[in-house]
Amino acid sequence: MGLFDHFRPVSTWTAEQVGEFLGEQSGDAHNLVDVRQPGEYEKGHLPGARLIPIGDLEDRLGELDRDKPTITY
Amino acid sequence: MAGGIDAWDGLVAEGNYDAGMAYFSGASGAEELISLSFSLEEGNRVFYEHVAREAKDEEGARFFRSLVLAEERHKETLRDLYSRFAGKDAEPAPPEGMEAGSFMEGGIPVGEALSWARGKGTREILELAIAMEANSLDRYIKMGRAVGNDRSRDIFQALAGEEQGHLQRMTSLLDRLQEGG
Repeated sequence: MGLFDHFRPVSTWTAEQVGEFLGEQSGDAHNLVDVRQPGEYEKGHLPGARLIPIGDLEDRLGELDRDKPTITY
Repeated sequence: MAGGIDAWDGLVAEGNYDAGMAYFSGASGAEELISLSFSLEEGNRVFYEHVAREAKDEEGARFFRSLVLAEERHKETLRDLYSRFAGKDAEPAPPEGMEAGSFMEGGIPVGEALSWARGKGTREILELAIAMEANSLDRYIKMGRAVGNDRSRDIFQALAGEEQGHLQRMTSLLDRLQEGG
């Protein structure tokens, strides 16, 4: 991640906007990332979400497709 | 997503990320996971067939019957996929220690679910079914992501798309039932 990436604007969607977006897309058309801890993920997560805890995110960015929109929660 | 998971009132799946996915890189792992999916779809089918018979209202009965047919289609798709991975035309065997049709999605024993469903209305059964199908959707999206073969990925994505369609129909019916009191 370069210096300018820290200044790249990131939009925040409401849960309703995310719900609408996911309802219109196939599971492969976006990166949906749960950045919480494994125990929290196990109790309940959005269907199809990848688990990448926030502490691991920088090391595992390569798992995400940069050409697709990414939603995190 | 603003508010994180606490703000989310849509579908939620449960369980570890792995849930067997770690095995999916090898061919035998793929067969095992397809077999597991096949057995769970059979469990769902048995459950829906039973609750369709016992439903107290015609709309619920019709809806659950449509899910029986959908599960049969999914089993057929998984059977074809299994043949491709296994290189032989055979029925996917249930995982060791699991009888086909004895467990539903989410690891719920069918017998226990049927005992619970006795005397319950369509609305309560739909709530369980939605939780169950959300787990199916979760698994098929992950299977599609994990599999290397394009054709197989398309099939898993199609299965995920169908589960999403079922969930939309289920939540619409649930909304209608809730509005009607």
